[in-house]
Amino acid sequence: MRRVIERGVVALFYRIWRATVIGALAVSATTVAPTVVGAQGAAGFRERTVPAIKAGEWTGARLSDGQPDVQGHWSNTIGNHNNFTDPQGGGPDEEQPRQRGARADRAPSRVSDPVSGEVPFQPWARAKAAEFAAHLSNPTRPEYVEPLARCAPAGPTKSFMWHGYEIRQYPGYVVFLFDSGTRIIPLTTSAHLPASIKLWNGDSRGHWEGNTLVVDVANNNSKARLARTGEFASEHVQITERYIFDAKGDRFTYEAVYTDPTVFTRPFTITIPNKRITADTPQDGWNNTTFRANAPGAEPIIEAWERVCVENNGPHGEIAAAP
Amino acid sequence: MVRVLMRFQAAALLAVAVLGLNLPAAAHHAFSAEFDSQKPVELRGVITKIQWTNPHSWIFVEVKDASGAVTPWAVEFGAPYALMQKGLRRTDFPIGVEVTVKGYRAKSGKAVANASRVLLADGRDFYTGAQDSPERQAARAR
Amino acid sequence: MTRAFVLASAMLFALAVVSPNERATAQGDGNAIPRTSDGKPDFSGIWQTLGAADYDLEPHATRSDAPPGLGIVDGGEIPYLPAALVQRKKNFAARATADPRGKCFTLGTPRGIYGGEPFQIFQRPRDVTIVYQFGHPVRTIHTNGTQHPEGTLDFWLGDSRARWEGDTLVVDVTQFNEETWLDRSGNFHSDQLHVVERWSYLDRNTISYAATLDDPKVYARPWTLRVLLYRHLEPGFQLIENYCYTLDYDEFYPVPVSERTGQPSPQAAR
Repeated sequence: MRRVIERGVVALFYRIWRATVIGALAVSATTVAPTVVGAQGAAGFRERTVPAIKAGEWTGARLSDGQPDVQGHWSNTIGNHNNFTDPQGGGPDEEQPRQRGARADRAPSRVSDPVSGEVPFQPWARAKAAEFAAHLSNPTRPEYVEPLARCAPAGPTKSFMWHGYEIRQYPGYVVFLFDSGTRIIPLTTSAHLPASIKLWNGDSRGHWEGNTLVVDVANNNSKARLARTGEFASEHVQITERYIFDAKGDRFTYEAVYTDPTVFTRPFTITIPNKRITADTPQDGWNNTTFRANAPGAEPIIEAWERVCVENNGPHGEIAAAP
Repeated sequence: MVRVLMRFQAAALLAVAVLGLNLPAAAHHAFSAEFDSQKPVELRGVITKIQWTNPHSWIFVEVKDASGAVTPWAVEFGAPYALMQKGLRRTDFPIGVEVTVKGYRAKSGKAVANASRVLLADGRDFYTGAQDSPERQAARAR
Repeated sequence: MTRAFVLASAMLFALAVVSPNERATAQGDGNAIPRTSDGKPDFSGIWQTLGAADYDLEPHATRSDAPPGLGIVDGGEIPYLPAALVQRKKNFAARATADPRGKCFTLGTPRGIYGGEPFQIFQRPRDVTIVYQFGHPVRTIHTNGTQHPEGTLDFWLGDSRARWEGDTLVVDVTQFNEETWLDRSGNFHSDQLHVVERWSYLDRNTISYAATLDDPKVYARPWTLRVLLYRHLEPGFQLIENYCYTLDYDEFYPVPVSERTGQPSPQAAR
């Protein structure tokens, strides 16, 4: 009986995968550049523009404690952490760079302020970031190994650039579940942890202002870096995040101001757009890694499976043997 | 035999078609940071252990060379949900069974490889490579 | 005398029909257990066990690497099958290096509960979420009527689906891998492990936790362990993320201080 069920499950997933591929093939036949909202599969989560969502009143559903209800599964809509300032431009890991067309045809830099889209590095820091990028594909020293490859948590901001994730809310808390770690955000004005404690995902304190979740992130160890292109801050960084939710409940903008006078010449702002994943969103193994829950006859419920990354990744994160 | 070849061709065609998509890299590590596209390997050996885990599953294979010396290899596959979508299950890799793996060797020089194709004892042949593996990069560059 | 008798009878009658919780509520709810809006016990909070269970589930005297413990296993001993007992002894002998906890691997279920570091429970009607400080993994206990996923899956924490029996949460956990130990002494299980947990309040700051384990490859029969979970009451207590598996390479990121600009930083790092 179980074997029959297993075959049925395999067949089901194959059908889903096949439908996703066929849908995505249809899209790729007609488009060259990354694509249009509403397309199926991973292509549906790669947009060229960042929708403007205004901070203001929240007019959507609320939880019993008054918080806007934004629970569910989400993913960003411009790309992974290959390239911080040209999210769809390919990263330093590409051995065979692809033809990608004009810069204007791709999503904008995640740096929304300054308008140049460049991280306002001090000169020594720009050189250090470039050094990391140059060695990504030949990590002959431990500090050139991408920390995410070792299953390190991705940090407060890069966590939104790596796979889909989940938001759960409770009285007094917003909790983010990422493949690479967890962020518990207490909705409180109490003091942060003592400054001597430095954490991969920092220590957060949040509150709601209308449709915007405002979070102050301190106690950052800043070890995660921001992308494969090597951008980083130091343990002195102060991060102020604003999660601005659209009233329809299907999109939000993540905005983070990074202030660190030891690394940057001025504070700068990071902007990452995000979209909701529903039971109708095709699985693509990256943005949407949820499954339909085993609830026969009921309305479809999607759930993510266990998010555990550390085990058995021993052979990863090894340094490259010198030639 | 013919049926196996036909399945292979169908899978290969589908794989090539999939390669045309602008899919983002799936690995939490960059392929080129860990594995050497200039060092393809083909391993045939007996499975001694499997670890069916996120983000990567591993099979451990004992490979005997011509002289009879045995080398234990660690071979990386994808995440269980990704493998399931290809039709691969944990039970396809029983301990003690022989398997053939084609892939790329780790840049660390150790007996570690990233699997791009796996051939099972029952003749089934699967493409299991990372989305930023050399085959996929080459197809996208065209 | 008749009046006193009537009064006493009335009081006895009142006590008999009014439940302890309702009585407590009537008295000012100092002892009432917290409940969610749908009337279920609310286990939200930060919890931790006391005692030596993580060192050794069975009764044991002091060892160089473990304080003594009464044990938390009903009946004292885990009923291993003969071949499994051999493996358990091998594990014990190798425990200093073989305990997956040493690599900061996920402790799993039920070890995460008595594993010696606090965990935080978040509860809403559809699920109970446990965030364990050690390693910071997350276990979701689904209380929305869904069933285990089909097929053979290998989870570190298992797949948890639960229902309420009165004020007790009964959790069914399956689909385990075989990578975790049950304690530091090498008590173990296979991928056939099946755990049934029972969670209930003893009082508003204490949870009574029991787990019945069965595993046809390892145990001759099901067996049960029991611990009490104590609520952290210290003002301002919070989990501190413990990604201990990063300690091996912590020092290499992001940019070593010695390689940064030679200028002293505006804020002195400690």
